Amino acid sequence: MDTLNAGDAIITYNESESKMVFEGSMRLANMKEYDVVSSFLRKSIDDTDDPVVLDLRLLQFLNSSGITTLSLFILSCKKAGKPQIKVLGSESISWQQKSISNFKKLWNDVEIVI
Amino acid sequence: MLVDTIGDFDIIPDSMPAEGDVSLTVRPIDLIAYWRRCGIMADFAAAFYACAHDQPNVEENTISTIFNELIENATKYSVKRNAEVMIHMMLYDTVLKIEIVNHTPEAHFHKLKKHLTKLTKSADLDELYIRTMAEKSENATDSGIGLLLLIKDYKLKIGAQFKKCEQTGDCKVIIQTYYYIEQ
Repeated sequence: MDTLNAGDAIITYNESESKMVFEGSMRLANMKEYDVVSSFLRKSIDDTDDPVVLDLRLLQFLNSSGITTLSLFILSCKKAGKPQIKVLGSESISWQQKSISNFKKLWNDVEIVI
Repeated sequence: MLVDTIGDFDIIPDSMPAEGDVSLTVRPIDLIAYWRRCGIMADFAAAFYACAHDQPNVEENTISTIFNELIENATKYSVKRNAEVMIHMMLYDTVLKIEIVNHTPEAHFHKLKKHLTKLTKSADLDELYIRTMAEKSENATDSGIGLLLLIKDYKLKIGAQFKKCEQTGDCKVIIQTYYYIEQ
């Protein structure tokens, strides 16, 4: 398992399940600060052809720079044609309820489960 | 003084008495030095209004997200790091008005005015989000979607007033958002 501390959030990648779990509150200051998150996401899935799960259910907050970072990650997967992305969200966390469906608007192959 | 008003500005004027009325003043330097303070202030604002028993549907996560985007923007784009950012939150029955006042560099003043004009006049905000992300995939120096998401996903009404003093060159921005609490 690989982990990354990003502000008040922890991201854990479980390679055997191809699952990225986000926990806490991720409100970094700008896109430059999110570079470390982008690199972690890219590095983790670099060699995989398996579908990847982004589990956001324990992520209480994600600011607009964070949403941009995940959006750009999804666009880069779309451009590469892999891996397929499944996003798990929580109905009880309002930012997820309101904004998580945006990812599917970027790439129709993204599966959203909320 | 040159004044431009955009969008839903003063749809509830300050002169109308509010049921809840909180004002905060903060210096951007204190938030830039410790960025987590933006989130701490946002969580405070959200908890303050969410605990009202006669407003059971006030969504704490939503208010915190709205406040956080507004205070992050005001902090990043203030003209001097020791200038003041003023926040005024007023609750009117089922509408939460948040007003943020700051002084910005002239280049950002014009950029924000153009951006907000585009947002408030856009007929298809989903398409604008997709197009913005496509542009950012080439060069993402900033997010640029904070206000867009607030209007598109949170159904916020937003207005702004841009005031430029010709003598001093001072550029003041007043942003107002209106969040309609779901009943």
